[in-house]
Amino acid sequence: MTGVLEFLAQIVEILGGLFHETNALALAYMFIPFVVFLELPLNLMIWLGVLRYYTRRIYAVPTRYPYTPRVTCIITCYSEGGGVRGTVRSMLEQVYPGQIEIIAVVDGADQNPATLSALRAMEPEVERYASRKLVVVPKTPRGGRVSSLNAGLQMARGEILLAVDADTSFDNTMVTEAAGHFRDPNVIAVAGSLRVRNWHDNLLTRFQALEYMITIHLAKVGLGEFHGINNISGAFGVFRTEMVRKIGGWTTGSAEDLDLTLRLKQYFGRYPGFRIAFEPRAMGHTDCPATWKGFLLQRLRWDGDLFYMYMRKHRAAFSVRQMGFWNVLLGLWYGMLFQMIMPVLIVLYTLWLVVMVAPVVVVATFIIIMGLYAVLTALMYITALVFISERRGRDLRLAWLIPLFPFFAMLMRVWSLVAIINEWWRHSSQESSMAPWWVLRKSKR
Amino acid sequence: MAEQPEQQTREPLRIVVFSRRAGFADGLGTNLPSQQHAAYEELASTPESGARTGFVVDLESLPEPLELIRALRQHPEWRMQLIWTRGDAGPESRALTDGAFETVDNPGERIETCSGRLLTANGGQPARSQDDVLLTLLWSHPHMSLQPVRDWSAPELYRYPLLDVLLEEDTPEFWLRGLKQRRLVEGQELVDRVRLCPGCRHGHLSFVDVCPECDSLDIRTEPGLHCFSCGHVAPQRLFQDNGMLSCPNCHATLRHIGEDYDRPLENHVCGGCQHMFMEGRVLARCMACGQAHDPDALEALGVYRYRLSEAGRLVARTGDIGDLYGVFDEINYVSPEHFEFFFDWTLKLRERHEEIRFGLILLHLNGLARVIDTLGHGRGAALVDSFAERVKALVRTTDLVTRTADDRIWLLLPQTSADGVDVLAGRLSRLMEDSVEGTALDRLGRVYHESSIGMSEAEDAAAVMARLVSRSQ
Ligand SMILES: [Zn+2]
Ligand SMILES: [Zn+2]
Ligand SMILES: [Zn+2]
Repeated sequence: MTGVLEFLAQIVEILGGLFHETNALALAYMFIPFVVFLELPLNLMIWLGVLRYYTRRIYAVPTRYPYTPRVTCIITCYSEGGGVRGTVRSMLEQVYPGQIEIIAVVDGADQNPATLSALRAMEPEVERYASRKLVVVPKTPRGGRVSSLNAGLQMARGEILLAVDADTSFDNTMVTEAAGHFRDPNVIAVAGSLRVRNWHDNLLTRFQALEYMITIHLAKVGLGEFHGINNISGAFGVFRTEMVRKIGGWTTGSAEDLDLTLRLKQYFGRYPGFRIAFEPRAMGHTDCPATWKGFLLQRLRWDGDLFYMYMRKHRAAFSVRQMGFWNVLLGLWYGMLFQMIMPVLIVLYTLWLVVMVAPVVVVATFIIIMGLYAVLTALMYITALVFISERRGRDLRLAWLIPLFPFFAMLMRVWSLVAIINEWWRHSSQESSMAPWWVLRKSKR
Repeated sequence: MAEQPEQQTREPLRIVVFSRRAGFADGLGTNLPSQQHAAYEELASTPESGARTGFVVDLESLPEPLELIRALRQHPEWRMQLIWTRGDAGPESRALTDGAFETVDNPGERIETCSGRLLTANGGQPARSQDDVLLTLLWSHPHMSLQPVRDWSAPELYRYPLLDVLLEEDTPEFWLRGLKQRRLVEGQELVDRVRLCPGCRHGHLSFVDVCPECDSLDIRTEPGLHCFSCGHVAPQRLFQDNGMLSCPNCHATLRHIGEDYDRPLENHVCGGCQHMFMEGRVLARCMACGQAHDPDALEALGVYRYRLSEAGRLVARTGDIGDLYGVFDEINYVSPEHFEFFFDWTLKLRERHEEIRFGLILLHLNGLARVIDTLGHGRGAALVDSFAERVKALVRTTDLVTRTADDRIWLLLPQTSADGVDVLAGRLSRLMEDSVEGTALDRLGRVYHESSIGMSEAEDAAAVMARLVSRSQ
């Protein structure tokens, strides 16, 4: 007992002595360069991007001349049952004045009769909406998400293609906001934003809601201003149909969304004007994992896929000639350095610290670092709340998580490393895929 | 039926055929003497009487067969005769005729039966009113009934062609209502049920949906929205705000269905007051008088095929016996209004002088029609006369008498004790039995009475009389 108290007293002493020359401060300074040189520039860039976005929005001349191309929305359904109704209904409810064709592809329709009948039962409801059409496509051999998307692509008649998951629903202005970008013929895809629908389930979903808000949503707004969007979420992506057809649709295999993004980006070198826009106001709502197990498995797959895409499948594509200088730079910085090398460095540094110095110093250093990150998080949070958020009331209810968020972020970094190692050694992207093995075997790699 | 009139032997049975086809009458395959005419006018020019005639109308060769049938049914000489048809008969011809000729096995026998009934109908008297004609016709033609025919131009949407051709006074609707009220006809088959304007009894109604708030006609179906934050329900267009949806009431932005708003069940909107509702109020607007009514306030009218009732058959045989009751009008008669007035006055008088005693007697001569039917008009009338004489002998000069609904005779007996009323009622009741002694009937009618002790202070004359009438039914 006294040991513990003594231990705490020592930590306080070190922290109190921060402003004098101490050993701990030296250690903290050793860590701070990571923050300063790797994270701060990125954060600064995001801040600048957000400010640019915000002023651009304020001084934007409203261009309301009619531009309403036909939009096709492919909803990939599986065992969602009655849950698909929310997705379809949110598409019907779009205030978009143009035509919206909804293609609901039910994968493995034999195994999922509830999903199929829920969709069929919606037909009279669809009748009530002008310029909305629902096509239900039952696919009897189960072929995975990619084959559903490609089946939908074949039938799509819209100029603009939306690929969404059946557990995601949308704000009613989503299509209007997203479709507007395609006025610019150089825009080949638009990334939308996602919010966590089940955020008030538990602490984990709240953390994820905050993460979506700061590290995903805000970062995308900021980087989007510098044309640095590096991925289009699988739950929700908007494409120019013609482009998706040109690159041959989705390819069989895992990480099909990232794969599609990277294949689209390969056009950037030849057509420097091309870009992927990000629209913060095109908002989707999705359920995130509510259990730690489900959450960790999801991240294992995501980070594994990221590594697999950059390091194995598209390494050759990562050239200035193919993607353009700016994209390679941002891709290297954000995609590789930030998301792959940083976790390794942080983990190695922490291990080194534990081995080299006294536990008291380790804890004190850790607290300082977490404090620094908490300040950074608070700044990002305020930026998001002030400049970006369209649901401030809801977002304010996450504020109390800010001091705890760095721990969550730290955990994510460590887990990212696990995912990379896992991918490296076990080619886990093959096994963790949603598609069954016989489809994977046909993959071109 | 009882006695055979001698003229029947004089006049032969015959069939008159209307057709433009040569030899049509011979082709009918009947052994009765027949003559063929090409038009109605030819028949009018022949002087023969037609008591034992049956008609056959060839619907296919005549230009206006329906006109001809109507003319026959309206002609005083021919209207009671059997009219059969050949060929495709429309609903109107079917309502006016005795059916297809080919379905008749023995036309001669049918003509004979019919003319026999015609001779005895109406107590042997000639028909005097449209009621007499109609009842006699229905009684002597067992295959005929009052058949309604759908007609968009008829006020009640259906009309009765037989009533139309026989009509002499009133409107067909009033006539039928009178027949029904007197229970001379009864519904045989319900053909349809129509709803009529309670203001003018026209069936031409237009049903319109109106706003339940302001009764405006200007309503339309329109998608509506229901704001979750304030509960406001309004048409979607009022929420549209520069490519977004925002509540016109609380200004909340509605982004996501199920989260900020939903679709209300109300999907009708009023152009006048913008009120949203699920179902409009339905109003039935009369195309004749222009009034609008609640559908529940409409008068439902069952459209029946009518046949003669038991009472109707009786009247058809005896004829109108209303005038026979007239003999009672010679006994201290006052009009029903005066009678009620005096009765009321007596009741009021009793409130101040409790010792006043009086009585009311109702003679209901419901057996009279049967008496006439059994004994014949002459003997029946004599019987009623003698009954009236004997009633007159029992009535004091101060008693008041009146008559309502032909067969109800009322006596107001002032200054009479309850016992006195009982005694007089007993005597009258015996008289009812005595007067028909020796016939197959048991009594001429029934007697109902009430002394002033049985009348409460709350009752007025009309109430007491209604009480006795209800006992007599
Ligand atoms: Zn109104
Ligand atoms: Zn509201
Ligand atoms: Zn009317």
